[in-house]
Amino acid sequence: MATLLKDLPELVENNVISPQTATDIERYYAARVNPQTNIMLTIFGVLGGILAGLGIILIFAHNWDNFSKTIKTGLAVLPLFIAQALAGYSILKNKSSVWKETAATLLFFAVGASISLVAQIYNISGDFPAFLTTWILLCLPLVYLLNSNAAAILLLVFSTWYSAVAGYSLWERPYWYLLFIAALLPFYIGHLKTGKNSNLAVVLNWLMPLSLLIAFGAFLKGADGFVVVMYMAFLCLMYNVGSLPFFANLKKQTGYLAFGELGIIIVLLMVSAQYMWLEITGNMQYGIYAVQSHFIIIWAVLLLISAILMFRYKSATFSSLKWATFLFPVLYFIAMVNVPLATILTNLVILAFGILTIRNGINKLHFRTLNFGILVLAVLTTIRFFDTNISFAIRGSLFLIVGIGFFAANYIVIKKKKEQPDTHTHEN
Amino acid sequence: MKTKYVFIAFAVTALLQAFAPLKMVYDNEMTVSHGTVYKFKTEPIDPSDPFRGKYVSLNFEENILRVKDTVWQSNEQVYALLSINAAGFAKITAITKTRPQTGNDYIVVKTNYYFDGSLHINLPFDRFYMEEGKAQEAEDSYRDYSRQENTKPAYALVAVKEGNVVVTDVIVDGQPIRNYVLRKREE
Repeated sequence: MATLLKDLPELVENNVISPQTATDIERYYAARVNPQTNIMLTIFGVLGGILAGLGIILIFAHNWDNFSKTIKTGLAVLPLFIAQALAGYSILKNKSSVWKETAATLLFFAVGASISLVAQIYNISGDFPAFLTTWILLCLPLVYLLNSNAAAILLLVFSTWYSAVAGYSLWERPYWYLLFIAALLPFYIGHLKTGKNSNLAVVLNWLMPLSLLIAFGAFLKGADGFVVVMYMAFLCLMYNVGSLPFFANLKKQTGYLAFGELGIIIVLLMVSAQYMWLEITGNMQYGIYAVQSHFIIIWAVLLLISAILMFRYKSATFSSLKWATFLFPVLYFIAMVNVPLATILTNLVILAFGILTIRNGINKLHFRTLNFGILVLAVLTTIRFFDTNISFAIRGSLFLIVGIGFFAANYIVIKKKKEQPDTHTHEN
Repeated sequence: MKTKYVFIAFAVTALLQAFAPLKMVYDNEMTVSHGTVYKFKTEPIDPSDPFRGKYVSLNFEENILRVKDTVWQSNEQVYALLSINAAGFAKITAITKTRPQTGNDYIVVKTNYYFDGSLHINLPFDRFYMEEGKAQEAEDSYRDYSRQENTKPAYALVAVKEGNVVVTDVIVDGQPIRNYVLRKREE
């Protein structure tokens, strides 16, 4: 490449290529080289920003006695002004993304440091969620003004942290989280539109569902056993979103599909034991209890969106797991009337899913799918092993069947693969 | 042209970012310089905060009040009227659900729980930040101090103005806790 660029003037001189073509070639190489170095520089810039920012916060947290209140206050806002100057400069001069990402990261932590230190100077007691809310609100515009991926990721992580602190340890509904996510959504969607296989899109396709999954439970204070039913509806929605052609056809897998799939199976396995259905329906102590109406409305909305997605994109890559969307509510209603029947049906559903997945894996010669199906059956069998009301003979036979099935299924796939050597690309 | 608008939006954001801590400084400085100072009896103990450093946690005695009204929800924001008792310490005289108009000093508190005629409240100030290292020493030396006989009670100096409060110092054995720790180091 270097020799080609060196030869360009000669080629133009001898009329082999036009001057326009020469500049085009130069530009092409310039554009091709830059992204690589830029990404590395950006990553270092952001890491440096995070380390420096955290360093500032930790140094201030030491809290020197020798400094007067005025000096402390000055020190509290100094990093803020420096970071703001950097950010302002990179906007005015339209500097590269390296500058903007670094400035955004530094400024993010400088804002946190300034509020923290003032709180320390005046012994302001911690309402930690309120502190995080102020911090996040003051930094949300940076995502758009500096077009900063680092700020978007930091804000997503801190928003999730806020929801968890408020929802799980203080039992307040973290309503601000909804605003934070709504504010970050245009940035996320914009990146999905312009570069759906870009690094940032891949990262956010995992962080976003993880954040939603954590925050969802933070809103469910007071839903008692119904929490499981609501989480199931949420997981099914997540799974169905991940199965949409847009997400399913990406080069890298998304968290929507992975968390959805794993979550649905885990919840199903949980409720394969009778006492879980007793807990969920309240049959254990109180008889069936009334679920607050707003939870039922949210639940219905989740199911409705799921259903719309499923029927609108029928031809997409939905697997048999999508039916959990409707099967689970049916099981729930049955459990209200007859818990033992619901428990038996739950076990049959898991069994059917395991077998269907194994069949799917054999048909597609796909080891991962095949062994996921076997794993589901193995876990189901193990859980049943601890249910004392099943006789040892039946339990033993179940294990034997799963064990033999594991060998047989893998053997069939290996044998089939040998017959069709060109199918190895399916493996992962 | 576009850069100009982005920069203006950034300038507004930057002003807000600077305004937040400076407003906190202003409000609290006004309370410290113009507010009334109350002494709240307390026990200092030591934990830590990830962002703000080490502090002694203040465990106040004045957090229970006999009330006639029995309708109190947990975690409700209410107003506590302050006065000074015969020994010179702060005393909560009444709790109201609406913000007091004029006259009396008051603080904004959160209800904790109501039981058998007594309302337990959480005071809005329970931290006194100290230099790293001194916070633990402060707790240790206070524990030793409290075991001795005929000790003077420890208390926090709290400036109060229109509901806003700032803990300005914690006094152990008649002197600021910082000096108390230093004196103990020399002993």
